[in-house]
Amino acid sequence: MLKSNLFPKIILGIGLCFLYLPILIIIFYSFNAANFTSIWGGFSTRWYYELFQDTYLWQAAWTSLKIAFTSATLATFLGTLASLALTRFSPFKGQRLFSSLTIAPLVMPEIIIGLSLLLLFVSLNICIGWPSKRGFWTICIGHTTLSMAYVVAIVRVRLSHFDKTIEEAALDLGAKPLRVLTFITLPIISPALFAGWLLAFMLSFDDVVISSFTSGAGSTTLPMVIFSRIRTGISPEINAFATLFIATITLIILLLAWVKLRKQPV
Amino acid sequence: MDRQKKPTKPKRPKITLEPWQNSKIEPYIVLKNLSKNYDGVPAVQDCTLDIYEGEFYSLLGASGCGKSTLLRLLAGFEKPSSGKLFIGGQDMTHVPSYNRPVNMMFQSYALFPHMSVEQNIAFGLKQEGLPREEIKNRVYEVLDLVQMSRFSKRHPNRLSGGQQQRVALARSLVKRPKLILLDEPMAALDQKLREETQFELVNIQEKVGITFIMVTHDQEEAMTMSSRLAIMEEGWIQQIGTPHEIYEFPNSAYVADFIGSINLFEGVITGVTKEMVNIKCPMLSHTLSVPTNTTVPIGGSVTVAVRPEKLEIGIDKPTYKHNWEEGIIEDIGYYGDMSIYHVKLPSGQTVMASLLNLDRISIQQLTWNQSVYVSWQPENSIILTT
Repeated sequence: MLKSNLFPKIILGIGLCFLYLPILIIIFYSFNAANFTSIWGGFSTRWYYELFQDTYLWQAAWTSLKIAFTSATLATFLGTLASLALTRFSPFKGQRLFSSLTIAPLVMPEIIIGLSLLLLFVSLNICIGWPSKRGFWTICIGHTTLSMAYVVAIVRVRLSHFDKTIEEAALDLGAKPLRVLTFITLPIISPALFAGWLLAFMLSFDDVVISSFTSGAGSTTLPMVIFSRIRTGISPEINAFATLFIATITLIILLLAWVKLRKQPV
Repeated sequence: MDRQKKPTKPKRPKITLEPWQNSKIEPYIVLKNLSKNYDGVPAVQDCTLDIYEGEFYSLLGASGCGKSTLLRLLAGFEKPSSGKLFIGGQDMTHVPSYNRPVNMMFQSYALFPHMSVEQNIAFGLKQEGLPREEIKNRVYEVLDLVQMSRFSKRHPNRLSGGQQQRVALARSLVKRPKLILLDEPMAALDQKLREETQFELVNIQEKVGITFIMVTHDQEEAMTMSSRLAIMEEGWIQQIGTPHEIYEFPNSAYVADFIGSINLFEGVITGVTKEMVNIKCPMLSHTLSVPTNTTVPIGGSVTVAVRPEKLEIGIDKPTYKHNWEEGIIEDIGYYGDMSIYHVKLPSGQTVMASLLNLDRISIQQLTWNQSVYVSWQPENSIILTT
């Protein structure tokens, strides 16, 4: 009896270790005084201090945030429009093709997307003179291409499960189609829109492959910086950065949970 | 309390009884040869209807008969394949639903889940751009009418089914439309609540004087609530009439069988006199005699229909020539207020006769396998030619 009670707990423990031990190790070593990531040299906040001096890293982080915000917003906007076309319009010619095209980036290797975007931007520059140099907007377009597919996947399912009589009721009460969309449909599916936006944000924020192909001088994103530094040996500074990052996300999640808990009893 | 002091009551319109009998009154809603096909499959076929102001009109039929499609055509959610639709003399055939003076109460209620009861009802008025004060007054006016003022701040998911139904009704009333469409309004309520709501709905309809068109598959509901009803089958309108006309004078075996229960006898006309038609049925040992109201000649085949409550059942042998049979009680259905006896005739056909249980302890106890006589008056039988 005892054995059979213990076994699931051990499995659970192994599973949790597998998931969270690496994160704990990063946090642990971020307080390491030594110059190397893997050797413990005593407690210190030295790397945090150095991190705050590292303007290059912070600049990259700021660029990444801006790109993630812009591309997530673009992807949510375009993805919602595409989902509406797929679920609300009467069947149109090429609907199946359009449906497959919107989710194609999900199954396409990122490296292919990145490469083809690079070729596109280069030939566009030759033909119409834009983009003369790659940077913020080319990365945004690249990320939007990928993350829009995820937004469509989420929003489309929500829309097809949507009780259409609610929209009909609004039309029946005298609201024109655009007002129905703004005041009825979008507010009701807003959790799906938010989930799609968040996913698009995270996809963009930690993307390396597409960013590498579509970025130019002066527009390096955070994951690109981290990636290039790792090649020259992992700096404990990155550990400190990761710890701060984890702390921020944990804080946001706790805040959201707290807001949700407060809303419930009303 | 303030709100109740100055009720801005809508004027109670003059109700003309049976306006369809009065040729001076114009019908309010006119459907002319309205048809709707879905990819070539007909859902509503060549539908022509006149509905008058202030009527409580029911569309009744089995599921898939096209009654809901007809309602959606009236609301403007579907475009007719052919035919025309007029409301208040105006051609509404191609007017989109948001410009029609019509509001619908949905079977699922279709309340907006992200809005409170008050916001749900105010939604339609906001589309008209009315001042905020007036919107509030009118919202509470209809909430008082359906007795839901207490719940104005609640969200729909925190209301019971019956309360949601009231909100849905209030939402369709608040714009004071010319016509309200009700799609199976009572389908989601339990039996007891449904009976209460039926009468309440009719009372509200009489109070506001708006024309109601209701879709239902429940024949009892349609009979008790409607001024007139249309029976539909496979997209066609089979019969239009008052509940009484439909019940006592069905024009086809389908209608006779759909509304209530009925005994049908197929036979051939053997003789016609000035008053009576004689019919010989192969399943019956005696001839049938029915008042002359048919143009079918001698030798023509007809169906004679008799309602179970019109049958008399007894143990004394009738003395007259026509319209009676001998049989054995095969089954008894006890309903409390009445009993239905299934009597098996020698030919093998079973007829149903119902009897009110007027006394608590019946003097003449009829029981299983008893030999009985069923008989009926000639004027209580109906000749059906289709």
